[in-house]
Amino acid sequence: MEIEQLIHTYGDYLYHIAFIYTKDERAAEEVVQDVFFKFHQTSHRFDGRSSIKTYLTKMTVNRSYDYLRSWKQRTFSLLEQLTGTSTGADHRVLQKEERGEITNAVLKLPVKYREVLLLYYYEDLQVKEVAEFLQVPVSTVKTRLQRAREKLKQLLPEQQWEVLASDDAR
Amino acid sequence: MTMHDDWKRELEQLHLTEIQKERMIVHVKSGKKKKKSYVGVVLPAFIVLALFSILLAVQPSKMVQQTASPIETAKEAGSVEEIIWLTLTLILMMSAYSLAVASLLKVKRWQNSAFVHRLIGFLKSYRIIWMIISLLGIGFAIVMIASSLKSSSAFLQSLFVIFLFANTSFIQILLTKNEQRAHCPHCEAELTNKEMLKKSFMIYDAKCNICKKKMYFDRKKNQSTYLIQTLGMPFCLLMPSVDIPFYVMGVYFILYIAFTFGYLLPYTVRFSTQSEEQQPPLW
Repeated sequence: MEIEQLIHTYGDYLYHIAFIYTKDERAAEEVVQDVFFKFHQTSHRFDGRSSIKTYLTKMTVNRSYDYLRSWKQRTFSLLEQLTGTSTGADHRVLQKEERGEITNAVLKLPVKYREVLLLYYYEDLQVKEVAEFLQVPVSTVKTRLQRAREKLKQLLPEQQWEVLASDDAR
Repeated sequence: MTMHDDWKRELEQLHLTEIQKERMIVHVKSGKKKKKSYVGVVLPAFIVLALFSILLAVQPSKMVQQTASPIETAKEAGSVEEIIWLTLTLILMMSAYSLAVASLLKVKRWQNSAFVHRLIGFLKSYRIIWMIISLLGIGFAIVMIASSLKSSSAFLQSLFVIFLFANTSFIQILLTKNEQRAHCPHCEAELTNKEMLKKSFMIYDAKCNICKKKMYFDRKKNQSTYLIQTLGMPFCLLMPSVDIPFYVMGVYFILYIAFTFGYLLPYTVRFSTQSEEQQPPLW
């Protein structure tokens, strides 16, 4: 598949994943760009054992973690704590209220909870698949999902939470 | 419809634009890894260094003859008062910087401005470095200039007053961060600064210039926002008691009046369709 086609097919999908990790639209764009750049440079290493979508998703998650560990991101967080402003660069392109209630609630959770919610609810992976993807035990994924739901329950109105809880029992 | 479907729909709202995708394609095909820009760090450092060199060149004999530290220079001259003014000025400067950043991020009506977005992005890129360099640079410049001027006390007092004004202004801006510009309650037309100024002097006979209908000052709403306008006034009254010269006080007063009437007024006044008699009592 040509790189243009890949960007048009998976660009938005990877952008959502990067955004949930980084909480920053500009950083998410940078992450996705880096992923496609690296894939273009090292596409010969892709042996086809998994689908190209899974491969790109894994690259996006790894690159997002690199961003979260970076000095640049840490200075943002530090100054936000000092100045008392909100997380990430929330004010940049899309305003908080425009993002939707659920997304805003999810963004308030720590990254370990955000990622399990993303993989489980957004990517529709099974718990076992999430565990394999993140290379953690199944029980850890279940615990994190449980805690993430508990935290979401506090952040979201009761009626909406009930729907999510029943949905998770599938 | 389940909650995670709702979430998916919410995330669909977030997407890369065609321009972003095209830019990505060009970048990926170019095969050149994007280099990190250090302009934001190098340029301010260079400016501070250049400023330092210029200051050294301006007063070389004085710098050599006197002790190395400008603070000590000031002490030797018996200017404890100057050190106090300097410290207070630096504190106010740091506070003004933080309030300015907070205002850029928090004031809703500014968030649609492309310039403000660019400014936020610029400040956020390397903001800790920016903050440290600018504070050190300006602080150092203040010390150097103050120690080399005969009337350093007056100079520092002027700076103190300017930063005091900056602080009160940013606090006023932050207090009105959610306010929209004053508008006609009938046709929703926004009032210009000139109209606002006129109407503030004829509170019982205000008419909208567009729909020509009568509008009245919203007593309840305005009572709280008028307090914001008068926030800077106590400082003005306190200044003579801390020996600030009359002309410095005058500068503060002019800045304060210009800011209040030139910028703040439209965001602190609300109009109502009901006359004062029709409006409910304040208690």
